[in-house]
Amino acid sequence: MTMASSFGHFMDMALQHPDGPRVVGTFDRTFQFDLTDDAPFYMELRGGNVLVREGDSGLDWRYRDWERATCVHTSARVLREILAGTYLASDAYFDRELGFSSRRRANRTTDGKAMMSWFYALLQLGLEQGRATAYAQLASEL
Amino acid sequence: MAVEDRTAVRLIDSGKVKAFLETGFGRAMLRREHVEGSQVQAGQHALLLADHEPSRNNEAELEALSELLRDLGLTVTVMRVDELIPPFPGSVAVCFQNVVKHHIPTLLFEAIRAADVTFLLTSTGRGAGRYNQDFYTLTTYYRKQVDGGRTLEAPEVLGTDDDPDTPDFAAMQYPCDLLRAIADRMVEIFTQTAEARGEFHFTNPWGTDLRIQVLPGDVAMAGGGIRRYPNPDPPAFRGEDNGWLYRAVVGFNVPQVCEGVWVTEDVSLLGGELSEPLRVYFENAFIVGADGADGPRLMELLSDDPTAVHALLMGLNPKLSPFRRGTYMLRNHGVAAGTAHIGAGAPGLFYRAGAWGGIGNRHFELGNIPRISLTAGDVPVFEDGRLLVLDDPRIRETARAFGDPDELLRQFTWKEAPLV
Repeated sequence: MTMASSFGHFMDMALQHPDGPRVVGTFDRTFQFDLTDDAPFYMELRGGNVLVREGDSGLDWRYRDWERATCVHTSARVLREILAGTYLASDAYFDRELGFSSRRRANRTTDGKAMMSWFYALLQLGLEQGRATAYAQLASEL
Repeated sequence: MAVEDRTAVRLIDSGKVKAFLETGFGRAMLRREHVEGSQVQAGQHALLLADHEPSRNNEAELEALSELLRDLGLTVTVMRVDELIPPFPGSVAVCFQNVVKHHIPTLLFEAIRAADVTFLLTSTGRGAGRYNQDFYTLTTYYRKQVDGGRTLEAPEVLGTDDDPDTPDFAAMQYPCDLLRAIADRMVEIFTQTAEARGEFHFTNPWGTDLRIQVLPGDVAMAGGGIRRYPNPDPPAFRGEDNGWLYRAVVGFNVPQVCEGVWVTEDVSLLGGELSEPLRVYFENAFIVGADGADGPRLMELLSDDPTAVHALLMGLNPKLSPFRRGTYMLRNHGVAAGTAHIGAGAPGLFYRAGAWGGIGNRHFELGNIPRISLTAGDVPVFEDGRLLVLDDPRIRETARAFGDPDELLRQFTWKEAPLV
């Protein structure tokens, strides 16, 4: 399974969380994943919907499209650990294993840190829903 | 050049805070800080963290805030803690050295997670949300509201040039929405320059001379950080730097290019006021050398991890004069229009000059320097400390809603006497 595919499944779980639709719909934005050890992919969040695709979004997150896109720089290895719940994304940031650009502003009115918090919130939803689903499965087999 | 007051770890003298809070004006400002600034809500649970061994002065701040929050309908829990973030020996605020991965007690971590809003009234910790891993996780990953240093935004508002003991009412009561408009006009100019991949040229009379380029998304910051009241953004995603009443700052975060020299007489990592001016050299945005008596010590402290510019921020409040009886306040917090500081280093991974990397696992400030000049591309923005946007017809029109534009947009006068 490619990293993009894994991440897409993870985001499907996030959307199934009771808070998923509300949190996902907070902003419209594209996250371009720039991986050091795997092919790039991107996640487009728009109107509460999530689209994960392999490759480059075509958006210039540095200049032309800075108000629409954030680049997430990491590795597939780290991302898998984050999705597995064994590595806190904020720890990865402090370990210089995960970076965001641009940092200060997401657009003309939204603080850049809000994008980091939103990204982390999406990860938390997926992790919580995954654990809840796994526990429900276990409970049903008892 | 004399320094008005300095404490080992806090930027603002707690005795002055106590005296301020004993006035009706001080209590009214405290209320505004939390109604309009932090925008606490009735029914929330507030956690107040205080030093284990409080001085009488800090106790006054704790009592005033507790009383106010209860009056606003919050429940309040006070926790006394041992040293929250250990200060680096010989440093003064704001400085985070060797504490990036310092862990706070689990009990405290979970208490902050359980609270709706936390206030750091301890002598250390202000700014920890950016520079300490536990506080970053609490504020950014878990989206907890942790406010530090709310009671007063800067030491320079507690006096005026003529009377060091009388608060600067004009600066503190400056219309917030007019300050936001001034900041937004500045940010608009900066953004246009950044989008055009233009250059910023920054100088001051002490010899500072920097050439800077930034990404548009690293222009700082919407509204200069001045509060929007009410704030339409979801509370969990308001970000940071958005709740100030009178400390408006704009500038640049993690520049893509920063070349030249910064001349300062105050470095928090080195204990504040210096014995002689320090010339700090930047290449590729990293500190590569420092001339002056304290230069070797600075470079030795940075030798384990190269340190680059985290932010360059400029003050915008036109009413606050950063002087006390004619003497420039080296330990000001950058409220006054025409002052600027560099924050050096920050943990994390940043995109800069076509690559990803660190910018130094620490944070300290290279002093607030006076009378800056700045051009954004070909557009002069500051000229010898004067904020030129105050003459912008759009700003004048905006000012009419708040009073006499001539009065509101008249900036304090910089001293003619040599500053060094």
